Amino acid sequence: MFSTDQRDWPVLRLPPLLVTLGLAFWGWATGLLLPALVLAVVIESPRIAKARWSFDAKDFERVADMCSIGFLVLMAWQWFGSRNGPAGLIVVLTWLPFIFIAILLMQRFDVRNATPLSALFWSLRRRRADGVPRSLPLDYPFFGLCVVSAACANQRSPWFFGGLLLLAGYALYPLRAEGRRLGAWGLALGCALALAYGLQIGILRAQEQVESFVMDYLRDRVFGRADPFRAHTAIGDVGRVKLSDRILFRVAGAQALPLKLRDGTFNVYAHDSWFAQGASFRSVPPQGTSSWVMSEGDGPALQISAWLTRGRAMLPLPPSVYRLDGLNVGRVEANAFGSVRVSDGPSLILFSARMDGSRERDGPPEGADLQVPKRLEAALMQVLTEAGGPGLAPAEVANTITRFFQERFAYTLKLQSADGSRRTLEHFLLDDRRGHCEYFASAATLLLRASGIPARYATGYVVEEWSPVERQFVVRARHAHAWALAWIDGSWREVDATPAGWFAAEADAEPAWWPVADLFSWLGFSFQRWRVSGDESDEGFSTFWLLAIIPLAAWVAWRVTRRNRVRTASTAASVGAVATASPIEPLLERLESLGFRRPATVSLRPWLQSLPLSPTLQTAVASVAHTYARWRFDPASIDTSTESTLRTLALDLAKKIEAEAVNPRDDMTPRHGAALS
Amino acid sequence: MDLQSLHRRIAANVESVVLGQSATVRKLVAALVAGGHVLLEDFPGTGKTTLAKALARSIAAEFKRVQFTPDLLPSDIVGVSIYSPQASQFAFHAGPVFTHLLLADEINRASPRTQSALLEAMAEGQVSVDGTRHVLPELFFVVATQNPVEFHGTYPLPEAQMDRFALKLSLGYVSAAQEVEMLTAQNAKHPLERIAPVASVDDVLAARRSLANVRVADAVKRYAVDLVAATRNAPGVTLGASPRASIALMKLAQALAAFDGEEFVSPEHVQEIAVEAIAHRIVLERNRSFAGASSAAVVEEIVKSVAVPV
Repeated sequence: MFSTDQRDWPVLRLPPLLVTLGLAFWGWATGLLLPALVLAVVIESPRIAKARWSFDAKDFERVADMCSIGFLVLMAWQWFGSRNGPAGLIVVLTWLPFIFIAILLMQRFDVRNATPLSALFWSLRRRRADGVPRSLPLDYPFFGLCVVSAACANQRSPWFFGGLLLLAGYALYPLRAEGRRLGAWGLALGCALALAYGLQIGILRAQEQVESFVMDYLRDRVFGRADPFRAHTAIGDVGRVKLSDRILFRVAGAQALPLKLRDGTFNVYAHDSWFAQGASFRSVPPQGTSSWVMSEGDGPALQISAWLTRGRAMLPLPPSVYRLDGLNVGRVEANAFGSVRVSDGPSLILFSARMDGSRERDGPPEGADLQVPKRLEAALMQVLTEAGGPGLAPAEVANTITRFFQERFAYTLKLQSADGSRRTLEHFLLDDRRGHCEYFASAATLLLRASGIPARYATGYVVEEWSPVERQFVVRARHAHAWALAWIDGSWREVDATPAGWFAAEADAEPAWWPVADLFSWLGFSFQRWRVSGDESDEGFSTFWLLAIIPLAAWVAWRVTRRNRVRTASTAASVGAVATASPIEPLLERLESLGFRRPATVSLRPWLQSLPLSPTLQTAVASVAHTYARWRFDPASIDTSTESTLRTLALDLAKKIEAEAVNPRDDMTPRHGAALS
Repeated sequence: MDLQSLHRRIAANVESVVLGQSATVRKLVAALVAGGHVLLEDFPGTGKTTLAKALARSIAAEFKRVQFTPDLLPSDIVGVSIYSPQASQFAFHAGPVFTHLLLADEINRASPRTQSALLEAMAEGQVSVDGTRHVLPELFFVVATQNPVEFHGTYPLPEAQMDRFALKLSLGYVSAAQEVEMLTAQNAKHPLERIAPVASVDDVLAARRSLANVRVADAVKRYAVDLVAATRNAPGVTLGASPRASIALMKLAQALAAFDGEEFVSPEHVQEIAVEAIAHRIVLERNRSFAGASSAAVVEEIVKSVAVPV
């Protein structure tokens, strides 16, 4: 009455060794040839090992869940635990075949050689109770996984694309539409791949364009301070300058206060901005894994901890630093102005900066250090005369300028202009005489230059706030400061012209609840420091994560084995012969190699009898099928003698079928429906 | 007489009358020996009644038929107690249900009340009238016919009643060649007149008892249960099949295996009978049935998706 010959799963003709080839490609592309070899051997082992199991959908789901959890744990580990950060996710992706091989292996050892789709999709699990788990051989998806993983190695060689082309052709060849000429098929495949190649290049170019545009934009707007070549000032802006109370650095071991940590030095002033001209960066050679030496010296150390944004930062450093220790970054560069920048670092760095008062961090003055914008010359001379600067010795000039600003100028964060237009440095110098550190530093630098002293503009932070909770100095965003450097008597001297009350004025702006934020900041910092400090030796760090993973793995294992036990006690026993390899396995394998694969929902005997074989073989197959059905489904006849007889019979028959070279292409679709109706 | 030869004889006899329906006849006889009742549903004129009558004539057993009509009363089927003035007491007049083979023709033309009167008889082999229990013969086999419910003047059978039937078969139209042959056969004398009984009541009862000797492996039982259980969660199904369906499925599969001369049930026997044994017990969501889905198609889909034990 009913037939099973419509809408069955198509008999998938898998290209032989598809997964192994995929694994080989993966191994080659990622340089993981040995793991790939091991996986290939494991995955092809069912060809030799004859044992088969009859796993049910739940077993598959459990193993799939294990793989997924493992995958997520590795992701989490790479993201939070390792120093790689988000880049570590790529590492996990390159190991995908290793993580998910368990499902395919389970499928290979399953009698049906197919994986229920509910193992892969949660949405199908809710319907599991209806007992209709659709299954599919996972060979193709796994092959795809191998290719994706191989691509994650980001090997941009023509060999990779060529290999991909060959593999795609090999994998897709059995799936091509019948009745098309091979040439047309090859052409279509070639076109598709060429299109993919072009598209991929296009995406890459577009990404580069967008990246460079965004970076340009952000460099100007957001990361102004971190730009070693340019320092935006708020000179010209009107309104209230508000800097955050967030803690940026922590400093321990400071002795002489106030200490200024400098993160940038600039020599050219134009359009309210300072630029560092001719200050290209050169790599500082590493000494060991985490020491960076800029020059020789001897002196005390300052412990500095700083947050890095995407692994990069300009380091705030004391003026006479000569050596950095414990700095776990990939690259340290310094320029002639003593600016130091690091890249490829973790989110938090803890390092000690050794200082030697006799060492000079900055290079000697150049012509640019005396240049004054023509526009400002008149104003500067006027102020200089008013301060009584001309005719004094350089050291005296610096003191005079500082004193002049202290006495005649006021510090303010509220920037006003008479008519609401842009403020200018001239306006600050001559009329308003109020401003914040950037005005004072810029003005002082230019005044020094006007009086013939080489000077530079420096930005950085002032270390002055002692945190009794943390028992170290904290540096907040609002502690950002600017000052002048003057070349006096053969060395660079800091000339801070900003009136002394500025630090307190900034502190007044702090909200009342801010100590709570500080506390959280401290907790977060402590956690990160604890994490990073464990990182000194990589093993200790891994151990921490391993300790976190072991209980989880143990829990999963316990769940799985416990449920399995229940299964063995109830269902498995009643279903019977669950883990017994079928005695007719050789026969089925022979048939499968000829292209005959039994759909999972067609009973074995009708299927065998429907195979397009010669009449003699038909009879033999029918007899074996009958004996097998007896052995398998007659509860009264289970004994080992039948099983061994059956094994021999099946083996004989397999040989006979092999001998009689039947052509499977003649009639690929088994006529199992005919035997049923 | 063993099951195989019983089937062979009855089938040969019936097929001489109803042409081209060997698969249906096989299932009908399976229901007979498995102890389940059969509902034949098809369009008028496809040979439902003929099939039932041919089966009845093939067995030397008491046969009654009831033509169901909208005004048929329960007492018309089970019988009625009538006061006898001579004996000064009520005497039970047995209805047509007291027989070996009952043909309930066009069962869905009677009101649900009358249909339900058959319930107790079919399920328990007994009838209660006025508080008295009357036991039916040991061999009590109901073959009901009905037209598809879309036809005018029909009352769909209640779900509980449906569940009492082990099988719902439909005959369908035969091929043109067979229809020509049918015309030839009918030309002289109705072939129904020519056939003679080939088995006795005892033969059938003995066959029923020997059915227990057909062995069923746990894996096959599990497969049958899986098929039935799948209907309970299948999409678009409001009411899945009951455990009664599982029992019927196993017994019918046993009978089919015995007809094939085998002493054990194979999964293909379960597959063979699954749709007919399960489909009529499930109720589809309304919008589904309006959209043209049939419960038979749902069960077929299930058979094609539940992995078969090998």
